[in-house]
Amino acid sequence: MRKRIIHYSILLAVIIVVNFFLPRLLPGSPVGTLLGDDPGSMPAEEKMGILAAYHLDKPLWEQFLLYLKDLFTLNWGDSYSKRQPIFQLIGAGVGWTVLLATANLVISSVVGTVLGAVSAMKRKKRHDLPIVLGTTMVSSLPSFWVAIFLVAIFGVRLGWFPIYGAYSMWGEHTGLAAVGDVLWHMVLPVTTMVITSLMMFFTTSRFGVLNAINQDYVRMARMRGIPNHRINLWYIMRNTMVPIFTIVMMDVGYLLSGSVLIETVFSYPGLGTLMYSAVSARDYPLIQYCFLLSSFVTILALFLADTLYHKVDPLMEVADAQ
Amino acid sequence: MVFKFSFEYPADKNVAGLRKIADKIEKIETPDDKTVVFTLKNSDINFARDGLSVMRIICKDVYDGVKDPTTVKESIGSGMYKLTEYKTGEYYKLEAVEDYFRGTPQVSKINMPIVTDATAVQQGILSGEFAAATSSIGVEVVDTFKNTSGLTVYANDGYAPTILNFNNGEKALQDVKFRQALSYAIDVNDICKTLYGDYAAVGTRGLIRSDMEYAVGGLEYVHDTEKAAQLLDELGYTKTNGDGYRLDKDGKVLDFDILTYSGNTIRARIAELDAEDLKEVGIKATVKSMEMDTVDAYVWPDFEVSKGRDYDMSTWGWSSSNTPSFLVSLCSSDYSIGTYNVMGYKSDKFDQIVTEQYDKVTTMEQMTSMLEELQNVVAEEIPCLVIAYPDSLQVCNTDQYNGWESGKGLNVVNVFSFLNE
Repeated sequence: MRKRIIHYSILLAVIIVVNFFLPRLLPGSPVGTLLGDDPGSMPAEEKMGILAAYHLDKPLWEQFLLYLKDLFTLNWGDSYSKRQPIFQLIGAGVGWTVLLATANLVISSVVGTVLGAVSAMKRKKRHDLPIVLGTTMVSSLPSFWVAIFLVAIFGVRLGWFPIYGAYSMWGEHTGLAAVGDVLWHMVLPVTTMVITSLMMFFTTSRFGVLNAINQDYVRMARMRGIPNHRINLWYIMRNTMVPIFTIVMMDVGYLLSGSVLIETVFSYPGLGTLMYSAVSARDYPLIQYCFLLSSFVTILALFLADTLYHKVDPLMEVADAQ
Repeated sequence: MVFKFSFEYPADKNVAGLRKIADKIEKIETPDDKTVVFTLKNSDINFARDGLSVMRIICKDVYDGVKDPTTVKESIGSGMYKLTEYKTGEYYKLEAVEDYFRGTPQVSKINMPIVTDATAVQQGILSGEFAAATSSIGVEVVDTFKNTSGLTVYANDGYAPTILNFNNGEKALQDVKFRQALSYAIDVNDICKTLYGDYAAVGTRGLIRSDMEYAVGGLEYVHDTEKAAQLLDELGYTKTNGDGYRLDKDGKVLDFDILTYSGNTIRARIAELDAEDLKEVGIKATVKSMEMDTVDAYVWPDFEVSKGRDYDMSTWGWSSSNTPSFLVSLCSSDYSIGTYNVMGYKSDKFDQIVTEQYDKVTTMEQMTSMLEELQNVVAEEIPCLVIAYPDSLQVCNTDQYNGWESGKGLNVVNVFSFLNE
């Protein structure tokens, strides 16, 4: 455990350093963002003066030290483009992204796993081919195309679902009505995300079940007369859950960063939209802290996965003991 | 007091466009409550249009002493709508000012969600969720909207030119004759017609839209591949490689990159068509599609022309060209005046006219005369190619509200759309 903590601490330190340099490697600078309209009209000396006010004229190593100081004193400052405290901006966006990504993770993992298991258990029977073909075809569609298609049909043509936002901005919903409103707004973006991330769970589950079905312990269980549903659940699926767990934990790591495209298309006010606009504006501090938060969640997910593996796969504990 | 303060306040603030106006002013005097006297540092017959009509009138009590005006939260102004709520990145809510001096606005509330994806905006208008949008639509979707009941497309003359920039300090592009050859090689009229149909005015060699009052006639682009080839031969680019591309005196292929924004399909197509035309006369051009800020960093680093440039050619655009100072800002090699000279264009003839006349004109006739001379110079020296002036195309839901007013260079979401008369 101690070794693991040291490894992850080193990883975090590397990420803190990379997070500083990564935005600055992008061509361009925040000059346009800081100067507003018509930046070309301002004389060069005045432009440099504005950059100096944000310490952007200092050598990189000095800027890096300032960044470390601000990071560890939690003085993250204001966004160049939004002119608001970064804490506030990230705080407002994180909740929506977590909501969207968690809904996607739960639904795609359950649906993908079940479909994969059904497909494997019905292998070479009537239901298998349509499930495999259907899932493969649907999951290979680009996510932005799926999003636009769903908006055009279910949002515009049928008018069943809203096409932008996380909630009704012009209404005054409270209580359960507000919850319902948020869920209603989630339908199209979550559907898009589920469709495009189904395949991973489907193929892993299908392969895992096919592998387990032919094992001796499953044959033994059938010979002992154990009911099929119990064999399917406790003998086959139990052993298939290990790789599924791995994918789930990997997706937890992408919780904050995996929905940039979807949030942009649906104008969902999450961290993805914030990151996209930060990169477009070369808003260095906002880019840094968004990426840092996202990286931290990824490391945390990996750490949790490492720690919880023993619970999911008892064989790991035996192997470690040996 | 408030009026005077509004013009003095931006002088040292990070708001480039307004600071530019404040920088022109020597002093402001207020001899009485209803009179303001501006003394400018230099003669500027455009000050009324480019300065007085653009400057924002702000509340002295709110802004006095504030270093960064963009951090001010109070919404106090003199407009027809009051900002009642703003959520960062999500929406604006506006309410009409009942006693606005030009009458109570026709629409009492305006809700403006911030939707960044252009397709989502168009879908929103089609579905009826949006009554209008501040952004334009592309030519390719005009018919879709025209054929949808309840929607009206407004097409107005646009003054934002779409340009093919040449880096005038790079490789063979330094040579005026070479640039002239390019202007003959590229079929500007055909490109404009192909991509915009009837929704654009074709560009001219004078770099000014042909219907402007000071535009010089007879400066249309001529497509003549034989003439282009002849000029290239005269320049010594007579040898070719196996692919038919001309070689320079060092034996290297005449090879240029055309940078273009990845998010702008029209400009990318313009770049592709340019490359095809150049290939016809033996010049190799490779289209490189990049993210907007990356292209800007190569063409206009830090938005400062004196910092140089690092590109061969690029598709480009300016937001407007209908001010008399546009041509001077675009082509003067004195970068304190030529703030938009991203081509690095340098012409002794052009600069001499500017030096002798620009600060001294006091009448529109003098300005027109100067601009005519300048247009003739750039028509000859071809610092860039103006492909088109695309129309401003916007779509509104006239079933929901039919008071939209549009005009030349005017977005439909404007003051006149909501005035009572």
